[in-house]
Amino acid sequence: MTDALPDEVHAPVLGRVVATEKRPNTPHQFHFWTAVDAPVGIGTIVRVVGTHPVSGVIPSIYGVITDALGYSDLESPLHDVLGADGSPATANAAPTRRTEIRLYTAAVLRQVPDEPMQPVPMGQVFLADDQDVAIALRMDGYLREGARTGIPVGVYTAGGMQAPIYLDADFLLGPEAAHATLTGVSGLATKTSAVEFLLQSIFTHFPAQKGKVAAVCFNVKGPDLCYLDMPGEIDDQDRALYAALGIPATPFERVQYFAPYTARGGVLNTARAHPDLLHNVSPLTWGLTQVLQYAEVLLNKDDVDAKADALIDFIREQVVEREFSDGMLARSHLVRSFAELDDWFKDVLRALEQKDDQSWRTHHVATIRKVRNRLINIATRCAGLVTDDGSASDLPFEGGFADRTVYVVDVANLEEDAQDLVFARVVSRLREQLERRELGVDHVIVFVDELNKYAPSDAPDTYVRQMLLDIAERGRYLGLVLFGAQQFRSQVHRRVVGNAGTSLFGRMDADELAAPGYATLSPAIRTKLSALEKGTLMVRHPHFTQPVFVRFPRPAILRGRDGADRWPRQHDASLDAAVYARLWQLDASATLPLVQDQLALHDEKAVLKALRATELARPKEPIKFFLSQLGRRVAASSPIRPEPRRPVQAGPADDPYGFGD
Amino acid sequence: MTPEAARRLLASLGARPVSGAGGLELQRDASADPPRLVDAELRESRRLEVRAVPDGQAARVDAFLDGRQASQVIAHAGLVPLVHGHVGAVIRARHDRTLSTWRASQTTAIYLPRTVVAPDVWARCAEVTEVVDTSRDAADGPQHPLAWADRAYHQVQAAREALEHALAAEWVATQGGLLYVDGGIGKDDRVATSPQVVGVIKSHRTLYVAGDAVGLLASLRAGERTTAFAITSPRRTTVLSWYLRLRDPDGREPLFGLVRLEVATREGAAAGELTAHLDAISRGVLAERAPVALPDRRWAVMSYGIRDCEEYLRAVMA
Repeated sequence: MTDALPDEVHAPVLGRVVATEKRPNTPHQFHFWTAVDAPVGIGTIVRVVGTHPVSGVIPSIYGVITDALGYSDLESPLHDVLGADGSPATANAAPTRRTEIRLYTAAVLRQVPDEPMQPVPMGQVFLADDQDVAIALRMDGYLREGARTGIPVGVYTAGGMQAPIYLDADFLLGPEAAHATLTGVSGLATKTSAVEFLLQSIFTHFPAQKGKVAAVCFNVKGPDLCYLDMPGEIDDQDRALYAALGIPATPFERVQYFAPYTARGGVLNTARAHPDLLHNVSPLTWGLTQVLQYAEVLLNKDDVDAKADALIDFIREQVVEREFSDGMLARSHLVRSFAELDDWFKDVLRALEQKDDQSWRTHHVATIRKVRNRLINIATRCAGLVTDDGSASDLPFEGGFADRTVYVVDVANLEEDAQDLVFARVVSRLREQLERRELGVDHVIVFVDELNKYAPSDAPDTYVRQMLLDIAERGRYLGLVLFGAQQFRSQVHRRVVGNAGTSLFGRMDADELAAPGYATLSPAIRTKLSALEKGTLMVRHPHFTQPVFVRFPRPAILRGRDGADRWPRQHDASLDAAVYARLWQLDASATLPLVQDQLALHDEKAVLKALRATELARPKEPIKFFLSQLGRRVAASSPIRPEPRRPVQAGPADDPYGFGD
Repeated sequence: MTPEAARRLLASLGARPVSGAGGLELQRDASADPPRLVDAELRESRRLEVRAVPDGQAARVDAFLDGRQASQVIAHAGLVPLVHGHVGAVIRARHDRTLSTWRASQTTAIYLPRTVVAPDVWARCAEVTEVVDTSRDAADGPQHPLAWADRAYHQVQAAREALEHALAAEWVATQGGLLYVDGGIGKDDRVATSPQVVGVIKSHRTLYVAGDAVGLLASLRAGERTTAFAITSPRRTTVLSWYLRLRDPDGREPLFGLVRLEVATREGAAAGELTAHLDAISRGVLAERAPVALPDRRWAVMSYGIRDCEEYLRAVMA
C-alpha cells in the first residue's frame, strides 16, 4: 500500500516560474514560461507550488495571467529576412522551427499561507482546478456549507475546465458592500443580458435566511426588458452553463409590468400593450398629489427660485387634497387634479386682478403666474403618466412587493422629463418603504440603464443624480441596491461607480479604456476587453484581488426584437379596441360591442376614467362596476347578461300598431 | 562541483584562490595553431574539381551534436595553476521541425599536477570531486607554470571530445537517422565509420588542398562543392571530406560561408554512386542554412541546429 501522492504529482505541469534581475518576481507579481501549445492566456488562473517550505509549509501561490510575451532567439527581424532570402513564402520551409518562448506575467491572487508574504518562488506552475479557483478568489470563505452566500456570476474556463465563479451576496446586495455596475459598448457588451442573467442567479441562489429580494427594472429604451416572462431560444452550450451554475434555464416566473398610457389615453404606452401580453401589465398613472411631491424633478432650478419654491410648498401643504377657502376667492376649492389646480390658480389670479393687487398671501402675482405655468405644463409634458382626474395606479409599494419578482417600469416611450419623474418617485417610494420595512421584501435591486445620462460626472447637479448618489452611498444599509449599466464608466459620477462593490465589464470601447480609471489594468487585459466576445465579462468583486473573466449563458428569455416581431405594437389601435382589450383582461365576458356602445353613449374621457377606476378597484364584477362608473346614461341592458329582447308581439290583425295595448 | 565550491575547497587546503580569471578558452590565441596546407588524396576525381550540387533528394538531418567546455584557473599552489574544467555535450533531435534533447551529458573536474601539489591536496580533492592529473605523461623536471595551464586546457578539451564521441557513438548504435556533428569525426572510429554521421568543420587553419587548388576554393559559389578527398592520419580514422560553399562570399573574405564536410569512406562504391551520396549529403547541409544562425558571429557557416545545441549547453552549464 502506498501513500496518496500530492495533487501536483498527478496534475500536468504547465510551466515554470522564472525571474531575472531585470524581471524579478515580487509578492504581487511573477513570471513563468510554458510550452508553446499550453492552454493558457490572459485571464487564466494558475497555481505555483513553492520549492522550499516556509514556516514548515510548502507555499502555494495563486495568480491570474495579466500579460504575455512571445519571442524567438532572433536578435533582429532583419535576421529572419536574411534567413528566408527575403521571401516570406520560404520562411516556413526551413527544416527547423526557431526556438520560441511563451513568457507570462501573472498577478498574485492569493498566497497560502498568507504570511509571511514573500516573492513568488521559482516553482512549478499548474493550471488551477475548481478548488484552486475557489481558493484563489477567496470564494472558499462564502461557499462553506451552512454559510453559503455565493451568487453565480458565470463560469471561468481554461484548458477545458469550467469552474463556476460566485459573488458574495453580502457584498452584492449588502450589508457589507453592495451595488454593481456594468460597462460596455452598446450592442456587443451584453449589458442587459448580463443583468437578466444575474437577476436570475440572485433569485435562484440568494439565501432564504437573508430575506426576500425583488428587482425593479426601468426600461428606458427599446423592448429588451419587455419579455422577461417569455421563453427564448438558447443552445446546448448555454444549457450546459446553466447546469454548471445551478440556475434553471427558464424565463422569470414572476414579472409585473407597469407602463403609463399614451398621451391620447386608452392604450398603454409599452411594447406589452398587445392583448396577449396584458395579463401582467398595470397602468402607471399618478395624480397631482403624487407628482407634486417630486415637482422639483421637473422644474428647472433656474426658473424656480426660492419664492416659487415657497409657493409650491404652500400649494402642496395647504391646497392639494384639502378643502381650501379664502375670502378673496370666488369659491372654496378641493384640488385633487391638475384641472382642479388650474381652476384654483385661475381663481387666485382673477381675484388679484379684481383687487388690482400685486400679491396674495405674500406671493407675488408674477411668481403665481410662473408657478402656474410650470405646474400645469407638467400635465402636458407627462401626458399619459399624469392623470387629470387625480386617480393613481402605482407599484405595490404598500407591502405588496413579492419575493423573487421583477417589476418592470416601462418608460421607454416617455419624454425625458417624465422618465426622470418616474425614476425619482419610484426610487424614493422604495426607499421610504424599505426604511419602514413595509415594502414586502427586504432587498430591492434597482436596475438603471444609461447611468451616463442619469448620473454623469460632469453635468450640473440634478435631482435624479442626487438620488443615485444617495442610493450608492447609503442604499446598502436599507437593502436598496443599484445595478447600473453604462457605456462609459469614466463619465459616470465617481461616487456612484466608486461605491459599487461589484463591477462587470463587457466589450469596451478603446477610447474608454484609455481613460485614467483603467490604468490599473495591464495593456493585455485592456486589449482583451476591447475585443471581448458576447457572453463574456470581466468581473471585479471585493473578494477578488484581480479581475476575473467569466462566461455566462444567454438569458432564457425572448429577445426584445423577437418579441416585438411576434407581438407588434398596435400604434394605430382604435380606442374601442384598446378599451375592450383592457376590460377583457379584467373580465373575459367583456365584448367589443359593449365598449363601442359606451363610447357612443359617453364622452371618451368618461369611458377612460371608468376604465381606470375599474382597473384600480379590481371589483368582483368588473363589467358591472365599469358600467356603474359611467352613470345614468348607461344602457339599461347589461351586456353580460343581456335581457332577452321582448319578442315583437304579433298584434291583432285589426290593430297592427298595437294601439289597443 | 562549481568553480566557487572548488575554489573554497582549494583555499581550505592552503592554495591561493584566484577570482576573476577569465576562461582559458578566451586566453588562448586562436591563431596559435599555425595555418597549413595539406595535400590530400583525391577520391572522387583525378584532380580537385568544382561541381554544382544538383537538385535532388537531400539527406535528412535528424539530429545535431555539439559540445562545450569551460575552464578557468581557480587557485595556485605556489606558481602552479589549478584549473576547474566543465565540459558538456548534447544531441538535439528534430521531430516535427522542433528540436529537443535526445541525450545530454556534462562533467566537472579539477585539473592539477599530482606530482607537484601536496599529496593531501590531491587526496582531499579526489575525495569530493573528479580530479585529473595534468602531470600524466609530462616530461620530468620543472615546468613553466603556464605549461600546466596549457596541459589542463588540452585535457579539458579531450574530456569534451570524449563526451561528444560517446554521445555520437550511442546515436549510431541505437538510432537510424543522420547526425550532424559540429567538427571533425575522425578521432573516434565508431563515429568515423558510421554512414549516419556528417561532420561539419567551420574553421580552416588547415586547408586540404595544395598548389593551384587553393585558388579553386575561392571560386566556389554558394551551392557548389569540391570533389571529395580522403583525410588520413596515423591517429585518426580515414574519412571522406570535401568543401562546400554555403553562402556567396561577395564583398567578404574568401573563406566566408565555406565549410568542410566529413563522412565515412565508402570503399568499393562506384564513382557515380559516391558522387550521388556526397551530393545528397551536401544538399542536406545546404538545407540547414535556414533558419539562419544569427546573431552568432559564425552564422555564415553554422547551422541553426548547432546554434541550438550551443544555446542549450550555455543554459545548462551556466
